[in-house]
Amino acid sequence: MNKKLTIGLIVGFLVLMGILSVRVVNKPDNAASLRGNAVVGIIEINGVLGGEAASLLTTSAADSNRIMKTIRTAAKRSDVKAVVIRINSPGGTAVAAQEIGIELDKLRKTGKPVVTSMGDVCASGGYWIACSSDYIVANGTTITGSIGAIMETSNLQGLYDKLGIRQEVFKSGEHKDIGSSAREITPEEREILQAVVSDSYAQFLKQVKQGRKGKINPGELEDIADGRVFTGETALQMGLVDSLGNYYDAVKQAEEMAGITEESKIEVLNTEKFWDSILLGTRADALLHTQNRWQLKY
Amino acid sequence: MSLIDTIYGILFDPVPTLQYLAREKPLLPGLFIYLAVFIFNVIINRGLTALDSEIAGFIPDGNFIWVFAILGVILSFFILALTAGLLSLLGEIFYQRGNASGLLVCLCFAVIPGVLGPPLQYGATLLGISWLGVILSLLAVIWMLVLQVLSLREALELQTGQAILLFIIPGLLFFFVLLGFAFIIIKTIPPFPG
Repeated sequence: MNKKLTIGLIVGFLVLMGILSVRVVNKPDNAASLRGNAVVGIIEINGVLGGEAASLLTTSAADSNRIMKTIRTAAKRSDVKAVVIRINSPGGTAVAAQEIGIELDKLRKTGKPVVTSMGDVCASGGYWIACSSDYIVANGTTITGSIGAIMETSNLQGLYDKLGIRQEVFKSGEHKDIGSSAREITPEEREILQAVVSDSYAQFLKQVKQGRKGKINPGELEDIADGRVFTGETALQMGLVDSLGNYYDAVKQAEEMAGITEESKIEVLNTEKFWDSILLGTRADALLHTQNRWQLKY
Repeated sequence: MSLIDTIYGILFDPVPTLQYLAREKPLLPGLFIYLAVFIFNVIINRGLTALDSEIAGFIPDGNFIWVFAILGVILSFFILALTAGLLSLLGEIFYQRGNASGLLVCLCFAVIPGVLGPPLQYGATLLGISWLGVILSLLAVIWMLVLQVLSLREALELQTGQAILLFIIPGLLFFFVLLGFAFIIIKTIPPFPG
């Protein structure tokens, strides 16, 4: 065979593989579509919900920014036909839960079914997120519920007095230092903060009513939505979840809802990146992490 | 000899081609080929890991991949030069034959079959026969090793047995150094009381 033709064929093959490889790297759904598989995307939500990434140097947290990004990826990828949200979270900041919930609602609008699989704990903010899915599968002993909002602050005035510390505050308005740990909270401030918590709680109830429409009686919901927790089995009787089962039952449910008949590929969409966990941990904001004065939590 | 002739020769008629390379020492084309194979393999390996979500987690994202790739290029050139220099030095010590620059060029071209392994593995993975891809990739690596021994033989004008021995000496030395270190460490650990 002609030398040029042989080398040309080899180079042609290499170029073809190179193009396919670049396409797969830039657009992940090409990988599965090239193999002809439908994908059930798994999004794992583990730990306390917040807006900060977990790393080797910070405590475990379910970072809402990364989770939202993953949900958007699931929406964009044409090979992802259904999504299972695997939740093992006791809740966290109200905003984190709300943001993830909103993104899940957008995902469902694309026509892709979203099924929640509850792990050990799926309470409070975790349950808020679950309410943004089409179907909820819990294990019999899963701890769920805890529908409510909470805000905490500590009064350290006595300690400061003992240490001889006196905080000097310069504020632009009467309530700018609301929730300060250096003094007793005033009745007016208590009223303001309670209103914030009550409003937040009302939003939580609205989310549950919307998410569990036709599955739970709104009147009954208000009776049980006092922050108490339930087992998965009790939650099923109350209509807070749809069925009992494990992770694979949830995947099967997602496949059925998406109409997937052939063997699907299960892919964890937010696999923790090894390098990210190291590199993000060295970010200045992670190193200088401080607890907010007060946070509204679900 | 043109670049196409050289590439063809390395794949299908390696001995005279390596003799020519050891004699003429076309360093720049050699380094170009070495770099091209390296970059191409980085791209294909990225595609391979993207196909496997289980190992994708260990691959750096975005710009970090390029930082690692650039570091990899620098390191691999350093290792290439070190290998050529060391093998040539050992050739001089044991057989009084040295040709470091000729050997460097031959080793650069000897990586050419290595460009076939990852794409074959990639193609096989796409076709659902990844086991065949692994075998083909392994064959490409063996092919490359054979070419490296031939490079040594032709560049230093040795017998095949001498070239093989010279080729494995650095590995053996490294193994014995490691063994020595392990022995020293074990000896320095005090025995458990009682």
